Amino acid sequence: MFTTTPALAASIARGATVAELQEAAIAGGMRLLRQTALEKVAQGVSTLSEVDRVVGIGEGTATQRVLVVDDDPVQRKLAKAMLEQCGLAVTEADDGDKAQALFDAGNEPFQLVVTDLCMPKMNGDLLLTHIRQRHGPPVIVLTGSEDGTSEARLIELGADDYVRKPFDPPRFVARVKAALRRAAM
Amino acid sequence: MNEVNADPDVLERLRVVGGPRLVRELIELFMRYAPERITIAKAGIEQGDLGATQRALHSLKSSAGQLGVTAIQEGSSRGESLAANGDAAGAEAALAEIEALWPATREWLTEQVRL
Repeated sequence: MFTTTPALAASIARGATVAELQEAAIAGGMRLLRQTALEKVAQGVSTLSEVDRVVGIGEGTATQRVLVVDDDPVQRKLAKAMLEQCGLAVTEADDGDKAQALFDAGNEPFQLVVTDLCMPKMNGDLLLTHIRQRHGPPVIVLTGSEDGTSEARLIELGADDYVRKPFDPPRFVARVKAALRRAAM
Repeated sequence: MNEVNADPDVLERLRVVGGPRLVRELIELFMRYAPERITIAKAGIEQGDLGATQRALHSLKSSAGQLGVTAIQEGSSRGESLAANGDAAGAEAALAEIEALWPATREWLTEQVRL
């Protein structure tokens, strides 16, 4: 259970902006109650990801980085928002070529890759194979395929899990957390 | 469901987990992105590149489904399958249906942005 300072509580009560919350959180040196964050989201003042991001500053919460690869900006944005909401850092790529370049460069070590399957240029199959050949991190494949056999094939290719699109955000996050947990064992 | 065959509950669930601002941003992104996908899908048919049509409709299907825009999702799914099977005329007909649905869908989405 997190606690909050009187000053921060007062800021929240008057409908503070995210910037004001950030100042109050830093000044108070404490984190918002999760319930309070949800109330801010419900009021439309902020999103949960923003509140979590703001309150998490300087506390080392975003230590694990996920590479999200999808040519669809809607899916990519949603996946990024959901992962950041649970404290993960996210790097985006809008095609397989860019994802491969980011992975090979190694500037940002990824603990997990979430990739779409059907993309222009390098598709998800090839990206998955590339990562597996280099003993890379776990890979979760996002698939819009309605064909169950393709999912079995993905597992055989080395995917650690797959999530069908459109995805249910809480389930998606749970699968990501489970993959990260298994990888850390 | 409603007159444009969209499911507002899908957006409501997204608002609960991501907040209203994220949902507004996703909708605005989709409203820019969907016409681009339709254009790419049509160009694929005109240029005899049904693979491009298939990919564009596959992508449109997923993002439409993510936002509960069921009619566009179903039309895209149908068009994707037809393109995958080499049926250019069928894919073109599916695209025509999607284009016909777009004005009312865009209007519905615009209303959702204001919520």
